[in-house]
Amino acid sequence: MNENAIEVRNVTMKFNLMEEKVDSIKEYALKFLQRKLLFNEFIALDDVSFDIKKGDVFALIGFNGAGKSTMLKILAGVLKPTSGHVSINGNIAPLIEVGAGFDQDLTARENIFLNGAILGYSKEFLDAHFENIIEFAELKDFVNVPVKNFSSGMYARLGFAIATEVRPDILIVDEVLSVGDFKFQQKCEKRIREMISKGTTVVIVSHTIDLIRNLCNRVLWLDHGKVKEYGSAETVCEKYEPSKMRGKTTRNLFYNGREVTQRVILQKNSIKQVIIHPITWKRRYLETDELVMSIRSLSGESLCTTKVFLNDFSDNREYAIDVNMYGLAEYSAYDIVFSLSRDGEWEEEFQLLTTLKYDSSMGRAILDDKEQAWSICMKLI
Amino acid sequence: MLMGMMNNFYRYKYLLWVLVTRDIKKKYRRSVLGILWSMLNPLLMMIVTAMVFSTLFRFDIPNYILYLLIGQVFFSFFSESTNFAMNAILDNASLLKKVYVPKYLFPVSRVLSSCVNLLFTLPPVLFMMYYTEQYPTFDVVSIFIPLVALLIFCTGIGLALSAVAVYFRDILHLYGVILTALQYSIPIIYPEKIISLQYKFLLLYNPLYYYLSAFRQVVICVKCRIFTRLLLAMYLLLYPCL
Repeated sequence: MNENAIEVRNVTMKFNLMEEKVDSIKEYALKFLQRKLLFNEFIALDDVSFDIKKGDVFALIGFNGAGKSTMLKILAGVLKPTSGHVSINGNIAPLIEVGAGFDQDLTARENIFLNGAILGYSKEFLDAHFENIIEFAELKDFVNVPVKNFSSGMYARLGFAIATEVRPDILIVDEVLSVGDFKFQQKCEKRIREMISKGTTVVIVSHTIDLIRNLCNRVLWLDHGKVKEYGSAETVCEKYEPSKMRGKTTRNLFYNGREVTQRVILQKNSIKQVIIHPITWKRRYLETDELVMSIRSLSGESLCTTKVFLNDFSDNREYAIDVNMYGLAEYSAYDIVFSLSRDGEWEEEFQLLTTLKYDSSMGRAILDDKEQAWSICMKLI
Repeated sequence: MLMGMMNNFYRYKYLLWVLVTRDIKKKYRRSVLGILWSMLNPLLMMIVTAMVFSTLFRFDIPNYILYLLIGQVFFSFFSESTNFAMNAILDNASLLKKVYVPKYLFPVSRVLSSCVNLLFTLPPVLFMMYYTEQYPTFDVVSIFIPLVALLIFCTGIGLALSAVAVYFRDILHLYGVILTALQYSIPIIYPEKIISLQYKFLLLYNPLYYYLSAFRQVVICVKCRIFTRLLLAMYLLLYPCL
């Protein structure tokens, strides 16, 4: 019925910045008499309106002090806007600061129940999910240790595990993916992707533009409390950080005159991601359920193979296939091959040949424009 | 509006439970006697005060030990719960700024955990009743009437203090003094009759006095039956309102 998960209408947030914090009655009385109390007004958000549709992965970007965190707090219900209106459709899980509700003296077990209760879960829910949380946080051996003895990584893992255990309608993420080691970050990202694919609406604040490009479809750029840009991730990110665009080459693959795949993202000297549009593949080839992407060197050696189950995607979103293959740079040319299959039998194979060139002026590899040879050969096996 | 509030409260009832148990657990964590301290503390305090006052001043009160114990148990609940609740919002500031939680839960949970503490001090009171040969009858259960009323009273004071403490930190220091003044303004260690008539109004306008009297009536006044006690307690509770 209502397609919007979150509607923000003309939200303005003003803060009273008292230069020196007034903490005592005498000072308060003095300042009140001098009419200095409501002096230093700071407008954190100025007439901001936007909608977030159900299933959107929405990012807030902007420089420090642009009002991103204030906006998140308003969405989470922690702050009430000075004027304007926010309506929220569905239950919301704030992941604003990992471990904000931990009690240092309690053990991990007790903190799971405390923190879970703070996030509004019931005892039955926490009992049922306790094992999952511990497992995800990898803290099996530390269940009965007070969290004050935890390392910051363990702390963060526990917090993330608790907050994402529930499957909320709306998840709010504030720069939390920057915690933990590389391995855990990947795990977090995977979990968030999982939630996205299940239709959770996600609101992210991040300074990592690559992350936003990969995850999000809508972006709001705030600048000094005002909306600067609002639109698809591509367009807004491009304006926000034009310099990074060089590393990315967009090339569309056409098959029978129709666009089938999206683009290849390069990072430094190798392919980082291939972005596809699963729904297009699915629509065009109704019978297919499995898409295999592999990158091969020209000699035919397979460098990287990724399988995508098209049935996992029901919405019109792009999907980024991570290419976890180091050393791709050694191959100046390679094929990207897409194979579609049904019932485990290969049906069709699309092949695109492309060349990586090292551009010394930019210090990184680019996809060669002139030699581009998106060739498609259809194989029926 | 009210329904919304009730729903919200119901949703967070588990959080309230967790907060209360946390406070109790934390209070006695790593102490050898643990929760026993809740029972030992009022007894020890009573012994010390009784030794001082029964030799120094010699008040003319029948069963002075019990008189003193009830007064101290009563007042320590009041001071502990309100003092503890006063800091509730400030202590959880970092959390309240990050996640939406009904803010009143924190002061309320602290009053409740103090109340649980108070319940643990009731067995020593019973013990002292036996010890001083003031054998309790079943009627003692009517102590829960003034207790519930006092709980509501302390919750109100605690909520107000916790909100005030956010804006005026001075209250944190001032409140200790106020508590001491309150403690000596009501007859906890001295008998009621030593207050001269011209200062009697100090008692009559002090709500704490009525709660204290209700407690004492239930425990010390052995002759009345439960029904009369109920009436008596009701009367004493309603008196400040009239």
